[in-house]
This record gives sequence, C-alpha cells and structure tokens, in this order.
Amino acid sequence: MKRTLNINRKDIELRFDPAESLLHTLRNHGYTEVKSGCEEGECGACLVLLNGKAVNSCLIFTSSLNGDRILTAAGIGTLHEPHVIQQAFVDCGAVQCGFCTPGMVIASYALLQENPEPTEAEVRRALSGNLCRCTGYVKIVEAVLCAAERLKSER
Amino acid sequence: MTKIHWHYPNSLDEAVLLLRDPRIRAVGGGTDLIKRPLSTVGAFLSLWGLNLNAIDLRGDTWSFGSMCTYADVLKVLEPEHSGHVLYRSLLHAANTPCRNRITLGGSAAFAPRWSDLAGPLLALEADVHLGGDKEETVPYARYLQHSELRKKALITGISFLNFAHRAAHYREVRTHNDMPQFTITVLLKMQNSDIREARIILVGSEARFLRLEKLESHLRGKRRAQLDADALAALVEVTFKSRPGFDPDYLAHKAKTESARCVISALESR
Ligand SMILES: Cc1cc2nc3c(=O)[nH]c(=O)nc-3n(C[C@H](O)[C@H](O)[C@H](O)COP(=O)(O)OP(=O)(O)OC[C@H]3O[C@@H](n4cnc5c(N)ncnc54)[C@H](O)[C@@H]3O)c2cc1C
Ligand code: FES
Ligand code: FES
Repeated sequence: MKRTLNINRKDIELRFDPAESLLHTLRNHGYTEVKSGCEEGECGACLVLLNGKAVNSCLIFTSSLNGDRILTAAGIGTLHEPHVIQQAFVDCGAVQCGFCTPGMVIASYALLQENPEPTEAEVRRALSGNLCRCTGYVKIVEAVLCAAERLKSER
Repeated sequence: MTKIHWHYPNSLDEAVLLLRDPRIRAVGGGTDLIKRPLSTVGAFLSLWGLNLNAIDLRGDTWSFGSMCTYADVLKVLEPEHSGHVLYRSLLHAANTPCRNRITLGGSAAFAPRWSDLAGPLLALEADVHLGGDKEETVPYARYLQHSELRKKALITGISFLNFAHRAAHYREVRTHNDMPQFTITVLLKMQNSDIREARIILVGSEARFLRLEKLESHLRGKRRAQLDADALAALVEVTFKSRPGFDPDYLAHKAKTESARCVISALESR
C-alpha cells in the first residue's frame, strides 16, 4: 500500500504491507529513533506523537492513517540542536543505555505541551507507559521537572 | 505481502452493509486487533472516517461516540466530574499512550477480563447504540450476554444517565503496568448519609461479569458507622478459574477483601 504522512514536518510517501504497524513502517523508512521493544504496547520504546498525542506506534496499523502528523524524537530535536527536554535528560544523567530515551522524550514532550507545570505525580503518570531497565526512573523524573523549569524561564 | 484488504467507509450505512460479511472486522483503536493472527480476517474496516467521536451532556444523559478514546473521556470529565465512576476507573487503565488510542466501542465490544470499562458501564446501567440491519439501543448488560449481538452489531455510541453518586474502582495488579486480574467497581446513590442504592460489579472472575447482589442488598439503607469490613467481605460469593501464576483461592480471597474495602472507600469519597 502507499500513503502520504506528514513526518517531522515533511510530507513523506510511505510504502507498506496492509497489516503492518506504524512502528515497522517508520523503521523501514529510516526513522530508527523509533525503537522496537515489546511490540505489545507495554514498554513505550516505540512512542511517537500522532496528531499531537503520544501513542505506541507498534499498536497502530499504518493503513488506518492518511495525511496524519507524526513527530518522532528526532523531529523534536537533534544531536546538534537538542530540544530543552533532550538537553535536560543529558544534564540530569537520565540516559544510560539510551534505548528507552526517544520514547521517554516523546512522552515528556506530550505532557509538557498539555501541562507545562506538572507535579512529580503527574510526570510519573504521564510516563506510566514507558519502561526503563537502567536508570531506576528517579533521574528521568528529575529531567522532566528540570525541563519544565527551563521551559518556564524561556517563556 | 499480507493479503488483506482495507475498507474506508464514509457513512454508517456503508459500514453496516460491509460488516454483514463475517470476514470483515471493524477497527477501532486497533490496539487488540493488531496483535491477533490474521488467518480468519478477510478485510479490515476503518471506523475513523465516520465521525463517531462526539461527546454530549444533554439534559440528564451523557452520550459518547464509540470512537472516543479513554483519554477523551477523562478529558471531558476532568475536573468537574472527577468523582464520576468512569473517571475513577479509566484514570489508571492501561497506560498513558494506550489510553490515547483505546476506543470505547472497541473496548466495550472486546470486553476482556481485564477491562476497566465494563464494570463502570454495568454500574451505570449504560446503553449501547448499535448500527446494524436495524438500529437498536440495548442495555450493555444484555449486549454482553448475547454473542449474536456482539458478533454482528457495530457499536456507534454509549449513553447513560447523569446522576449524583459516590464511586470507587479497584484494579488487582502487581505493578501499575499490569493488566488487572480482576476489577471491582462500586457505585453508591446516597440519601444524606445513607446508601439508597448500591451497584457493585466484579469483572474477571469465573462468571466474567458478576453483580454482587447480596452485598448490594445488604448495603441498602445503611450508613458508614453500621458497616464492618469483615462482614461485608463475607457477603461476596466469587470463584476464579486457575490462571498461570495465580492461585484461584487467593484471587477469591483478595476479591472479597477488596470488595469490602472498595465499598468503604466509595462511601468516604466525594
Ligand atoms: C499494553 C496494554 C494494556 C492494556 N491494559 C488495559 C487495562 O488495564 N484496562 C482496559 O480496560 N484495557 C486495557 N487494554 C485495552 C484492551 O486490551 C484492548 O486492547 C482494547 O479494549 C481494544 O480497544 P480498541 O479500541 O483498540 O479495539 P480494536 O482492537 O480496534 O478492536 C477490538 C475488537 O472490537 C471490535 N470493534 C472495534 N470497534 C468496534 C465497534 N465500534 N463496534 C463493534 N465492534 C468493534 C473489533 O472488530 C475487535 O474484534 C490494554 C491494551 C494494551 C495494549
Ligand atoms: S514496542 Fe511499542 S510499546 Fe513496546
Ligand atoms: S536508559 Fe537503558 S532502558 Fe532506559
């Protein structure tokens, strides 16, 4: 099948199998920052923003989309121009192996768009679909709260 | 290449006509379907173009289109209706990204034993609106009992009366990411400090959807000071089938204890 989606602010034509998940379509087209973990909706490694909302790309049929807006972690910021959230993850030591980080960044971005001044409990709830095997979460939660502070002072 | 066809109907009539073919499956959020083997599926039918996502509180009735997600429901109930039984139950269901995708129609139709939606819908005595050969509105309890309805009908919406109540929802999970082994939903209609009516649903036991009628009738007319948790637990009759990693007697004991606690927590809620 063929479909055009707006990925990281560019219209991209995708070719995919009719029963394929968005996760596989994105990875097959080079968006390897979208990670494949459990493929069951449990780990959050595959998170992307779909029309502004964080979703597990492994649970979405690409065929159910058309013209929708997708944002991956690389669309939020890059190595040379990191987003405030990505920089906060580095500064707070919230990255170890890094496998969960793109999904964590997407979940944090979605949260801070909706709720720029979250409490710690709200951060934990927003990240409830993201598993990390390395950090123990404390530094990740700190990073999101730190990003919220930095974004507030930028406003 | 998988040989599977997709239909994108623009009208409900078109969708209903296509769904007469039993090999065509409606796709709501797709969060369950995407994990299923495709051998019995001839084609998928996307419900996303049908505008089934309206939410309305008109007069004394809440109506939700079947394509509303769990997150949509939470958003509309927050903060004014945060004591509502549906808010309490969906707040911790699945996880944040899943709640952005699971639809009311898909969840109500699938009704798994770990459902956080079935309990509150049964407690609210909700109706489901079905598009089919003839449009129909049926109580959700009846929909769950009739496999023919479940196989054939497309859920287009869900509605229930808006009335004051106190509520609590318990999920039996080991970690917050777990799907619940069972859920208990308690809805209480009050008259001052007395319970006027209690509706208590246990989802996930051997009976799958169980109304705790003995407990409900015991509670009628009572107030907090008259309730003893052990006595409430003794009124719960429930059995579980054996499941990998779970002892059925343990689950039954836990369900009794948590039903009593849930009643007390609903009474003490606002
Ligand atoms: C990791 C994970 C954790 C979860 N945890 C929970 C939890 O804790 N609590 C909870 O309540 N749920 C939970 N769920 C959700 C549940 O397991 C199902 O995935 C969900 O209920 C399916 O909803 P859907 O809208 O995605 O339906 P789909 O996957 O699209 O469809 C499911 C079934 O319903 C049919 N269907 C879809 N829409 C309609 C309609 N409008 N009318 C008639 N039939 C229809 C489909 O044909 C299919 O047979 C979890 C899911 C995941 C992936
Ligand atoms: S890979 Fe999608 S949630 Fe784990
Ligand atoms: S940093 Fe390794 S999984 Fe999170």
